[in-house]
Amino acid sequence: MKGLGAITGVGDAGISFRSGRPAIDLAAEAALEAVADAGLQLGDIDGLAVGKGGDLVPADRPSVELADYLGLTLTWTDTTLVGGVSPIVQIGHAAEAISAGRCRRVLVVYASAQATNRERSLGGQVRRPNHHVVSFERSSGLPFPIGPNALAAARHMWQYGSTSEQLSAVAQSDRAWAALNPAALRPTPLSTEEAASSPMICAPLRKVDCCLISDGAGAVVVEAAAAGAPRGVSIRGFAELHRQYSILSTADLLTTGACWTGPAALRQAGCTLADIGLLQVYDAFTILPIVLVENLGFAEPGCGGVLFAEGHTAPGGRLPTNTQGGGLAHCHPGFYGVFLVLEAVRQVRGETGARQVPDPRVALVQGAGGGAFGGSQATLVLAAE
Amino acid sequence: MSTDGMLRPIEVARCVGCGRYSWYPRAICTACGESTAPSPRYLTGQAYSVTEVFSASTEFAAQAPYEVALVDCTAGIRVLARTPGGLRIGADVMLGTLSVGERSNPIPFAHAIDDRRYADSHGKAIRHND
Repeated sequence: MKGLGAITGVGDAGISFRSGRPAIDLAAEAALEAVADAGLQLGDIDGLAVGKGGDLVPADRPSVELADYLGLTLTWTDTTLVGGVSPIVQIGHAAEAISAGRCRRVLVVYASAQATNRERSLGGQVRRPNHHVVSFERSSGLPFPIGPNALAAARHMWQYGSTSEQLSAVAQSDRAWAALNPAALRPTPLSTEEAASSPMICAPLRKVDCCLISDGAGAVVVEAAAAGAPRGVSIRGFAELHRQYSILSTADLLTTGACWTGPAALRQAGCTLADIGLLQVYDAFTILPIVLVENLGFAEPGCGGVLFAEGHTAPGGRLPTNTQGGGLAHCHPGFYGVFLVLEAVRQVRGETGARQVPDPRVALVQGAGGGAFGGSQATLVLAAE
Repeated sequence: MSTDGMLRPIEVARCVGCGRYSWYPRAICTACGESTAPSPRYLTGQAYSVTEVFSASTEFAAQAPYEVALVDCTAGIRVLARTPGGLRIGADVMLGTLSVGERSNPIPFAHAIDDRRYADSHGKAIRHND
Protein backbone atom coordinates (compact mmCIF):
# COMPACT_ATOMS: atom_id res chain seq x y z
CA MET A 1 0.00 0.00 0.00
CA LYS A 2 1.32 3.44 -0.92
CA GLY A 3 1.48 5.73 2.07
CA LEU A 4 0.93 9.47 2.38
CA GLY A 5 4.68 9.86 2.71
CA ALA A 6 7.61 8.32 4.51
CA ILE A 7 9.70 9.08 7.56
CA THR A 8 13.22 8.39 6.32
CA GLY A 9 15.36 9.67 9.18
CA VAL A 10 15.16 10.34 12.93
CA GLY A 11 17.50 11.93 15.46
CA ASP A 12 17.58 13.21 19.02
CA ALA A 13 19.95 15.21 21.20
CA GLY A 14 20.46 16.52 24.70
CA ILE A 15 17.99 14.26 26.52
CA SER A 16 18.97 15.01 30.12
CA PHE A 17 17.82 16.73 33.29
CA ARG A 18 20.29 19.50 32.66
CA SER A 19 22.08 19.75 29.33
CA GLY A 20 23.39 23.24 30.08
CA ARG A 21 23.08 24.01 26.37
CA PRO A 22 20.90 26.42 24.40
CA ALA A 23 17.86 24.76 22.78
CA ILE A 24 18.94 25.88 19.31
CA ASP A 25 22.16 23.84 19.67
CA LEU A 26 20.13 20.78 20.65
CA ALA A 27 17.80 21.41 17.68
CA ALA A 28 20.70 21.58 15.26
CA GLU A 29 22.32 18.43 16.64
CA ALA A 30 19.07 16.44 16.39
CA ALA A 31 18.46 17.80 12.88
CA LEU A 32 21.91 16.77 11.67
CA GLU A 33 21.46 13.29 13.13
CA ALA A 34 18.11 12.87 11.39
CA VAL A 35 19.49 14.08 8.05
CA ALA A 36 22.45 11.68 8.29
CA ASP A 37 20.07 8.88 9.33
CA ALA A 38 18.11 9.50 6.13
CA GLY A 39 21.31 9.27 4.08
CA LEU A 40 20.97 12.92 3.05
CA GLN A 41 23.00 16.13 3.26
CA LEU A 42 21.68 19.28 4.94
CA GLY A 43 21.51 20.96 1.53
CA ASP A 44 18.90 18.38 0.45
CA ILE A 45 16.40 19.83 2.94
CA ASP A 46 13.97 22.34 1.43
CA GLY A 47 11.20 22.32 4.05
CA LEU A 48 11.39 22.92 7.80
CA ALA A 49 8.70 22.74 10.49
CA VAL A 50 9.43 23.94 14.02
CA GLY A 51 6.96 24.50 16.82
CA LYS A 52 7.84 27.16 19.33
CA GLY A 53 10.19 25.42 21.70
CA GLY A 54 10.49 26.93 25.15
CA ASP A 55 13.69 28.90 24.77
CA LEU A 56 14.10 28.31 21.04
CA VAL A 57 13.66 32.04 20.87
CA PRO A 58 13.04 34.55 19.56
CA ALA A 59 10.23 32.12 18.87
CA ASP A 60 8.22 34.51 16.74
CA ARG A 61 9.87 32.87 13.70
CA PRO A 62 11.26 29.61 15.10
CA SER A 63 11.56 27.78 11.78
CA VAL A 64 13.35 30.68 10.12
CA GLU A 65 15.65 30.95 13.11
CA LEU A 66 16.64 27.30 12.82
CA ALA A 67 16.91 27.51 9.01
CA ASP A 68 19.27 30.45 9.46
CA TYR A 69 21.33 28.49 12.00
CA LEU A 70 21.55 25.48 9.67
CA GLY A 71 22.10 27.56 6.53
CA LEU A 72 18.95 26.28 4.81
CA THR A 73 16.85 27.91 2.11
CA LEU A 74 13.21 26.81 2.34
CA THR A 75 10.40 26.57 -0.19
CA TRP A 76 7.99 25.51 2.56
CA THR A 77 7.71 26.04 6.30
CA ASP A 78 5.21 25.38 9.09
CA THR A 79 5.12 26.63 12.67
CA THR A 80 1.77 25.11 13.65
CA LEU A 81 1.55 25.53 17.40
CA VAL A 82 -1.03 23.28 19.06
CA GLY A 83 0.77 22.14 22.21
CA GLY A 84 2.67 18.88 22.68
CA VAL A 85 1.11 17.28 19.61
CA SER A 86 2.55 20.00 17.32
CA PRO A 87 5.41 17.91 15.84
CA ILE A 88 2.95 15.12 14.91
CA VAL A 89 0.63 17.58 13.20
CA GLN A 90 3.61 19.09 11.39
CA ILE A 91 4.63 15.63 10.09
CA GLY A 92 1.13 15.24 8.62
CA HIS A 93 1.30 18.71 7.08
CA ALA A 94 4.78 17.99 5.69
CA ALA A 95 3.58 14.84 3.92
CA GLU A 96 0.75 16.84 2.34
CA ALA A 97 3.10 19.63 1.24
CA ILE A 98 5.43 17.08 -0.39
CA SER A 99 2.47 15.45 -2.18
CA ALA A 100 1.46 18.90 -3.44
CA GLY A 101 4.94 19.44 -4.89
CA ARG A 102 5.81 22.33 -2.58
CA CYS A 103 8.99 20.71 -1.31
CA ARG A 104 10.77 17.35 -1.39
CA ARG A 105 12.50 16.74 1.92
CA VAL A 106 11.21 18.21 5.17
CA LEU A 107 12.80 18.36 8.61
CA VAL A 108 10.41 18.49 11.57
CA VAL A 109 12.29 19.59 14.68
CA TYR A 110 11.47 20.27 18.31
CA ALA A 111 13.93 21.33 21.01
CA SER A 112 13.80 22.71 24.52
CA ALA A 113 16.21 23.38 27.36
CA GLN A 114 13.35 24.03 29.79
CA ALA A 115 14.97 22.07 32.61
CA THR A 116 18.26 23.94 32.30
CA ASN A 117 16.32 27.18 32.22
CA ARG A 118 14.05 26.17 35.13
CA GLU A 119 10.95 27.30 33.23
CA ARG A 120 8.54 24.70 34.57
CA SER A 121 7.45 23.29 37.91
CA LEU A 122 4.85 20.75 39.00
CA GLY A 123 2.83 23.58 40.53
CA GLY A 124 2.31 24.81 37.01
CA GLN A 125 3.77 27.52 34.93
CA VAL A 126 2.61 31.05 35.50
CA ARG A 127 0.42 31.88 32.55
CA ARG A 128 0.22 35.39 31.17
CA PRO A 129 -2.16 37.36 33.42
CA ASN A 130 -3.17 39.85 30.73
CA HIS A 131 -4.38 37.11 28.43
CA HIS A 132 -8.17 37.51 28.17
CA VAL A 133 -9.25 33.85 28.01
CA VAL A 134 -6.58 32.51 30.34
CA SER A 135 -7.32 35.07 33.04
CA PHE A 136 -10.77 33.52 33.56
CA GLU A 137 -9.23 30.08 34.07
CA ARG A 138 -6.49 31.36 36.25
CA SER A 139 -8.63 33.33 38.68
CA SER A 140 -9.66 30.06 40.35
CA GLY A 141 -6.06 29.17 41.19
CA LEU A 142 -6.18 25.96 39.13
CA PRO A 143 -2.57 25.19 38.11
CA PHE A 144 -1.81 24.43 34.47
CA PRO A 145 -1.33 22.02 32.85
CA ILE A 146 -1.79 19.62 35.79
CA GLY A 147 -5.14 21.06 36.93
CA PRO A 148 -7.30 19.98 33.97
CA ASN A 149 -5.68 16.52 34.14
CA ALA A 150 -6.49 16.29 37.85
CA LEU A 151 -10.12 17.27 37.17
CA ALA A 152 -10.32 14.61 34.45
CA ALA A 153 -8.84 11.99 36.79
CA ALA A 154 -11.22 12.88 39.63
CA ARG A 155 -14.18 12.70 37.25
CA HIS A 156 -12.99 9.36 35.79
CA MET A 157 -12.76 7.89 39.31
CA TRP A 158 -16.20 9.21 40.23
CA GLN A 159 -17.88 8.12 37.00
CA TYR A 160 -16.24 4.72 36.55
CA GLY A 161 -14.78 3.77 39.92
CA SER A 162 -11.22 3.79 38.64
CA THR A 163 -8.48 3.93 41.27
CA SER A 164 -5.21 5.60 42.21
CA GLU A 165 -3.57 2.21 41.70
CA GLN A 166 -4.74 2.24 38.07
CA LEU A 167 -3.23 5.70 37.58
CA SER A 168 0.05 4.47 39.08
CA ALA A 169 -0.06 1.44 36.78
CA VAL A 170 0.50 3.75 33.81
CA ALA A 171 3.69 5.06 35.41
CA GLN A 172 4.71 1.50 36.37
CA SER A 173 4.28 0.34 32.75
CA ASP A 174 6.40 3.26 31.50
CA ARG A 175 9.08 2.60 34.13
CA ALA A 176 9.26 -1.08 33.18
CA TRP A 177 9.94 -0.12 29.56
CA ALA A 178 12.37 2.63 30.60
CA ALA A 179 14.48 0.02 32.40
CA LEU A 180 15.17 -1.44 28.92
CA ASN A 181 16.08 1.94 27.38
CA PRO A 182 19.60 3.27 28.07
CA ALA A 183 18.42 6.79 27.10
CA ALA A 184 15.57 6.90 29.65
CA LEU A 185 16.06 9.40 32.47
CA ARG A 186 13.99 7.47 35.07
CA PRO A 187 14.68 3.76 34.50
CA THR A 188 14.07 2.53 38.05
CA PRO A 189 11.05 0.29 38.78
CA LEU A 190 8.13 1.94 40.58
CA SER A 191 6.67 -0.08 43.46
CA THR A 192 3.04 0.21 44.47
CA GLU A 193 4.16 1.40 47.92
CA GLU A 194 6.40 4.12 46.47
CA ALA A 195 3.58 5.30 44.20
CA ALA A 196 1.10 5.43 47.07
CA SER A 197 3.44 7.54 49.22
CA SER A 198 4.41 9.95 46.46
CA PRO A 199 3.54 13.57 47.35
CA MET A 200 0.08 14.76 46.30
CA ILE A 201 0.39 17.65 43.83
CA CYS A 202 -3.15 18.21 42.59
CA ALA A 203 -5.54 15.51 43.82
CA PRO A 204 -5.80 12.75 42.79
CA LEU A 205 -2.52 13.24 40.89
CA ARG A 206 0.71 12.60 42.77
CA LYS A 207 4.24 13.41 41.73
CA VAL A 208 4.64 9.95 40.14
CA ASP A 209 1.62 10.72 37.94
CA CYS A 210 3.43 13.69 36.37
CA CYS A 211 5.78 13.63 33.40
CA LEU A 212 9.44 14.46 33.83
CA ILE A 213 10.74 17.98 33.25
CA SER A 214 13.83 17.66 31.07
CA ASP A 215 15.83 19.08 28.19
CA GLY A 216 15.89 17.40 24.82
CA ALA A 217 15.46 17.66 21.07
CA GLY A 218 13.97 15.41 18.42
CA ALA A 219 13.96 15.57 14.64
CA VAL A 220 12.29 13.69 11.81
CA VAL A 221 12.89 13.72 8.03
CA VAL A 222 9.77 13.35 5.87
CA GLU A 223 9.98 12.45 2.16
CA ALA A 224 7.63 11.21 -0.53
CA ALA A 225 6.28 7.68 -0.21
CA ALA A 226 8.20 6.48 -3.25
CA ALA A 227 11.50 8.08 -2.22
CA GLY A 228 13.04 4.63 -2.08
CA ALA A 229 14.86 5.22 1.20
CA PRO A 230 16.09 1.82 2.40
CA ARG A 231 14.98 2.41 5.99
CA GLY A 232 11.89 4.46 5.35
CA VAL A 233 8.78 4.01 7.47
CA SER A 234 5.50 4.60 5.70
CA ILE A 235 2.99 7.18 6.92
CA ARG A 236 -0.26 5.28 6.30
CA GLY A 237 -2.79 7.49 8.03
CA PHE A 238 -3.04 10.91 9.63
CA ALA A 239 -5.87 12.90 11.20
CA GLU A 240 -6.02 15.98 13.41
CA LEU A 241 -8.81 17.59 15.43
CA HIS A 242 -8.71 20.87 17.31
CA ARG A 243 -11.72 21.51 19.49
CA GLN A 244 -11.04 23.69 22.49
CA TYR A 245 -8.44 26.10 23.75
CA SER A 246 -9.89 26.53 27.21
CA ILE A 247 -11.03 23.94 29.73
CA LEU A 248 -14.09 26.21 30.13
CA SER A 249 -15.11 25.15 26.61
CA THR A 250 -14.82 21.37 27.02
CA ALA A 251 -18.02 19.39 26.57
CA ASP A 252 -16.80 16.34 28.49
CA LEU A 253 -13.24 15.86 29.71
CA LEU A 254 -13.43 12.10 29.16
CA THR A 255 -14.37 12.32 25.47
CA THR A 256 -11.48 13.84 23.53
CA GLY A 257 -10.92 14.42 19.83
CA ALA A 258 -9.14 11.05 19.72
CA CYS A 259 -12.61 9.49 19.36
CA TRP A 260 -12.56 10.90 15.83
CA THR A 261 -8.86 11.10 14.86
CA GLY A 262 -8.17 7.46 15.73
CA PRO A 263 -10.85 5.91 13.49
CA ALA A 264 -10.19 8.49 10.74
CA ALA A 265 -6.45 7.74 10.58
CA LEU A 266 -7.03 3.96 10.77
CA ARG A 267 -9.60 4.15 7.96
CA GLN A 268 -7.12 6.04 5.78
CA ALA A 269 -4.47 3.44 6.57
CA GLY A 270 -6.83 0.57 5.75
CA CYS A 271 -6.23 -0.87 9.22
CA THR A 272 -8.17 -1.81 12.31
CA LEU A 273 -7.19 -1.74 15.97
CA ALA A 274 -6.37 -5.46 15.68
CA ASP A 275 -3.47 -4.61 13.35
CA ILE A 276 -1.77 -2.32 15.87
CA GLY A 277 1.35 -3.92 17.34
CA LEU A 278 2.68 -0.81 19.08
CA LEU A 279 0.89 2.10 20.75
CA GLN A 280 2.71 5.37 21.35
CA VAL A 281 0.37 7.57 23.36
CA TYR A 282 0.87 10.97 24.95
CA ASP A 283 1.33 10.65 28.70
CA ALA A 284 1.97 14.07 30.22
CA PHE A 285 -0.03 12.79 33.21
CA THR A 286 -1.15 9.22 33.96
CA ILE A 287 -4.85 9.94 33.38
CA LEU A 288 -4.27 10.99 29.77
CA PRO A 289 -3.31 7.57 28.32
CA ILE A 290 -6.15 5.98 30.30
CA VAL A 291 -8.70 8.23 28.61
CA LEU A 292 -7.00 8.00 25.21
CA VAL A 293 -6.95 4.18 25.08
CA GLU A 294 -10.69 4.32 25.80
CA ASN A 295 -11.33 7.00 23.17
CA LEU A 296 -9.27 5.08 20.59
CA GLY A 297 -11.18 1.87 21.33
CA PHE A 298 -8.39 -0.21 22.88
CA ALA A 299 -10.51 -0.36 26.06
CA GLU A 300 -14.20 0.09 26.87
CA PRO A 301 -15.16 3.48 28.35
CA GLY A 302 -14.06 3.45 31.98
CA CYS A 303 -11.74 0.45 31.55
CA GLY A 304 -8.56 2.21 30.37
CA GLY A 305 -6.97 1.92 33.79
CA VAL A 306 -7.64 -1.82 33.84
CA LEU A 307 -5.68 -2.25 30.58
CA PHE A 308 -2.60 -0.79 32.30
CA ALA A 309 -3.19 -2.40 35.71
CA GLU A 310 -3.45 -5.88 34.14
CA GLY A 311 -0.05 -5.45 32.50
CA HIS A 312 -1.21 -5.52 28.86
CA THR A 313 0.82 -2.39 27.99
CA ALA A 314 4.03 -3.43 29.79
CA PRO A 315 6.92 -5.56 28.42
CA GLY A 316 5.45 -8.91 27.35
CA GLY A 317 1.91 -7.53 27.16
CA ARG A 318 -0.43 -7.79 24.17
CA LEU A 319 -0.40 -4.01 23.49
CA PRO A 320 3.18 -2.74 23.97
CA THR A 321 2.79 0.95 24.84
CA ASN A 322 5.33 3.77 25.11
CA THR A 323 8.24 1.36 24.80
CA GLN A 324 10.86 4.09 25.29
CA GLY A 325 9.38 4.85 28.72
CA GLY A 326 7.06 7.68 27.71
CA GLY A 327 7.00 11.17 29.10
CA LEU A 328 6.75 9.74 32.60
CA ALA A 329 10.08 7.86 32.50
CA HIS A 330 11.99 8.59 29.24
CA CYS A 331 12.10 12.39 29.08
CA HIS A 332 9.70 15.32 28.66
CA PRO A 333 11.15 18.53 27.23
CA GLY A 334 7.69 19.92 26.45
CA PHE A 335 6.31 18.86 23.09
CA TYR A 336 6.74 15.12 23.65
CA GLY A 337 4.92 14.24 20.42
CA VAL A 338 8.15 14.09 18.42
CA PHE A 339 9.61 11.46 20.79
CA LEU A 340 6.50 9.29 20.42
CA VAL A 341 7.20 9.24 16.68
CA LEU A 342 10.94 8.60 17.05
CA GLU A 343 10.30 5.45 19.08
CA ALA A 344 7.61 4.22 16.68
CA VAL A 345 10.01 4.60 13.74
CA ARG A 346 12.84 2.83 15.58
CA GLN A 347 10.52 0.00 16.65
CA VAL A 348 9.12 -0.51 13.14
CA ARG A 349 12.70 -0.61 11.84
CA GLY A 350 13.65 -3.17 14.51
CA GLU A 351 16.41 -1.04 16.03
CA THR A 352 15.43 -0.84 19.70
CA GLY A 353 17.56 -3.59 21.26
CA ALA A 354 16.37 -5.02 24.58
CA ARG A 355 12.97 -3.36 24.31
CA GLN A 356 12.31 -4.40 20.72
CA VAL A 357 8.73 -5.53 20.16
CA PRO A 358 8.85 -8.85 18.23
CA ASP A 359 6.29 -7.86 15.61
CA PRO A 360 5.51 -4.12 15.69
CA ARG A 361 3.57 -4.49 12.38
CA VAL A 362 1.66 -1.24 12.44
CA ALA A 363 2.26 1.50 15.03
CA LEU A 364 -0.36 3.99 16.18
CA VAL A 365 0.91 7.31 17.53
CA GLN A 366 -1.61 9.40 19.48
CA GLY A 367 -0.62 12.93 20.38
CA ALA A 368 -2.47 15.37 22.58
CA GLY A 369 -1.85 19.05 23.03
CA GLY A 370 -2.95 22.06 24.97
CA GLY A 371 -3.88 22.83 28.53
CA ALA A 372 -7.55 21.94 28.10
CA PHE A 373 -6.92 18.20 28.62
CA GLY A 374 -5.88 17.52 25.05
CA GLY A 375 -7.96 20.08 23.18
CA SER A 376 -5.85 19.28 20.12
CA GLN A 377 -5.51 15.64 19.06
CA ALA A 378 -3.69 13.93 16.19
CA THR A 379 -3.25 10.30 15.17
CA LEU A 380 -0.44 9.00 12.98
CA VAL A 381 -0.40 5.42 11.66
CA LEU A 382 3.06 4.16 10.70
CA ALA A 383 4.14 0.87 9.09
CA ALA A 384 7.14 -0.69 7.37
CA GLU A 385 7.37 0.45 3.73
CA MET B 1 -7.87 33.83 51.69
CA SER B 2 -8.51 37.36 52.91
CA THR B 3 -12.16 38.03 52.03
CA ASP B 4 -15.23 39.74 53.46
CA GLY B 5 -17.10 36.49 52.80
CA MET B 6 -19.83 38.19 50.76
CA LEU B 7 -20.94 36.14 47.76
CA ARG B 8 -21.49 38.58 44.90
CA PRO B 9 -22.85 38.02 41.37
CA ILE B 10 -20.53 36.76 38.64
CA GLU B 11 -20.36 38.96 35.56
CA VAL B 12 -21.00 36.54 32.71
CA ALA B 13 -21.70 37.74 29.16
CA ARG B 14 -25.22 37.37 27.71
CA CYS B 15 -26.28 37.67 24.09
CA VAL B 16 -28.59 40.65 23.52
CA GLY B 17 -30.27 38.67 20.70
CA CYS B 18 -30.84 35.05 21.75
CA GLY B 19 -30.04 35.32 25.46
CA ARG B 20 -27.33 32.67 25.46
CA TYR B 21 -24.67 33.00 28.18
CA SER B 22 -20.93 32.96 27.63
CA TRP B 23 -18.05 32.22 30.02
CA TYR B 24 -15.26 33.23 29.59
CA PRO B 25 -17.06 36.40 28.42
CA ARG B 26 -17.15 36.66 24.62
CA ALA B 27 -17.99 39.96 22.95
CA ILE B 28 -19.91 38.13 20.21
CA CYS B 29 -22.45 35.32 20.57
CA THR B 30 -21.07 32.22 18.84
CA ALA B 31 -24.62 30.86 18.39
CA CYS B 32 -26.29 33.80 16.59
CA GLY B 33 -23.59 36.39 15.96
CA GLU B 34 -25.22 39.19 17.96
CA SER B 35 -23.21 41.18 20.47
CA THR B 36 -23.25 40.41 24.18
CA ALA B 37 -23.64 42.54 27.29
CA PRO B 38 -22.36 41.96 30.83
CA SER B 39 -24.95 40.10 32.91
CA PRO B 40 -24.09 39.95 36.62
CA ARG B 41 -25.95 37.03 38.19
CA TYR B 42 -25.79 34.14 40.58
CA LEU B 43 -25.58 30.75 38.88
CA THR B 44 -26.68 27.28 39.86
CA GLY B 45 -25.31 24.04 38.54
CA GLN B 46 -23.57 20.76 39.35
CA ALA B 47 -19.97 20.07 40.26
CA TYR B 48 -18.61 18.20 37.21
CA SER B 49 -15.29 17.58 38.89
CA VAL B 50 -13.35 18.69 41.95
CA THR B 51 -9.63 18.76 42.75
CA GLU B 52 -7.60 19.81 45.77
CA VAL B 53 -4.52 21.83 44.87
CA PHE B 54 -1.51 21.11 47.08
CA SER B 55 1.23 22.56 44.88
CA ALA B 56 0.12 25.89 43.44
CA SER B 57 1.84 28.41 41.23
CA THR B 58 3.69 31.24 42.97
CA GLU B 59 0.70 33.57 42.96
CA PHE B 60 -1.50 31.13 44.90
CA ALA B 61 1.12 29.15 46.85
CA ALA B 62 0.34 30.81 50.20
CA GLN B 63 -3.32 29.73 49.94
CA ALA B 64 -2.62 26.00 49.31
CA PRO B 65 -4.08 23.54 49.88
CA TYR B 66 -7.38 24.69 48.41
CA GLU B 67 -10.19 23.16 46.37
CA VAL B 68 -11.21 24.03 42.81
CA ALA B 69 -14.35 22.78 41.04
CA LEU B 70 -15.36 22.72 37.40
CA VAL B 71 -19.06 23.57 37.52
CA ASP B 72 -21.64 22.78 34.83
CA CYS B 73 -24.11 25.65 35.17
CA THR B 74 -27.78 25.42 34.24
CA ALA B 75 -27.13 28.60 32.20
CA GLY B 76 -25.26 26.36 29.74
CA ILE B 77 -21.74 27.44 30.66
CA ARG B 78 -18.81 25.95 32.59
CA VAL B 79 -17.05 27.87 35.34
CA LEU B 80 -13.87 27.07 37.30
CA ALA B 81 -14.49 28.09 40.90
CA ARG B 82 -13.00 27.90 44.35
CA THR B 83 -15.04 26.00 46.93
CA PRO B 84 -15.21 26.05 50.74
CA GLY B 85 -13.69 22.53 50.67
CA GLY B 86 -15.32 19.10 50.83
CA LEU B 87 -17.49 19.64 47.74
CA ARG B 88 -18.52 16.37 46.12
CA ILE B 89 -18.72 15.68 42.39
CA GLY B 90 -22.36 15.71 41.28
CA ALA B 91 -23.40 18.07 44.10
CA ASP B 92 -25.87 20.85 43.30
CA VAL B 93 -24.09 24.15 43.78
CA MET B 94 -24.68 27.89 43.85
CA LEU B 95 -22.02 30.03 42.25
CA GLY B 96 -21.04 33.67 42.61
CA THR B 97 -17.80 35.50 43.29
CA LEU B 98 -15.73 36.45 46.31
CA SER B 99 -13.50 39.48 46.47
CA VAL B 100 -10.14 38.46 47.84
CA GLY B 101 -7.53 40.86 49.21
CA GLU B 102 -6.53 43.60 46.82
CA ARG B 103 -7.20 41.60 43.68
CA SER B 104 -9.05 43.51 41.02
CA ASN B 105 -10.76 40.37 39.68
CA PRO B 106 -13.05 38.58 42.12
CA ILE B 107 -12.69 34.79 42.32
CA PRO B 108 -15.59 32.58 41.16
CA PHE B 109 -16.79 30.66 44.21
CA ALA B 110 -19.15 27.68 44.37
CA HIS B 111 -20.70 26.04 47.41
CA ALA B 112 -23.11 23.15 47.81
CA ILE B 113 -26.71 24.36 47.87
CA ASP B 114 -27.29 22.31 51.03
CA ASP B 115 -24.26 23.87 52.76
CA ARG B 116 -25.86 25.56 55.80
CA ARG B 117 -22.97 28.01 56.12
CA TYR B 118 -24.26 29.79 53.05
CA ALA B 119 -28.00 29.77 53.78
CA ASP B 120 -28.16 33.57 53.65
CA SER B 121 -26.75 33.73 50.15
CA HIS B 122 -29.63 31.72 48.66
CA GLY B 123 -32.38 34.22 49.23
CA LYS B 124 -30.15 37.06 48.13
CA ALA B 125 -29.24 35.24 44.94
CA ILE B 126 -32.85 34.43 44.08
CA ARG B 127 -33.92 38.03 44.63
CA HIS B 128 -31.01 39.29 42.53
CA ASN B 129 -31.66 36.99 39.58
CA ASP B 130 -35.38 37.82 39.62
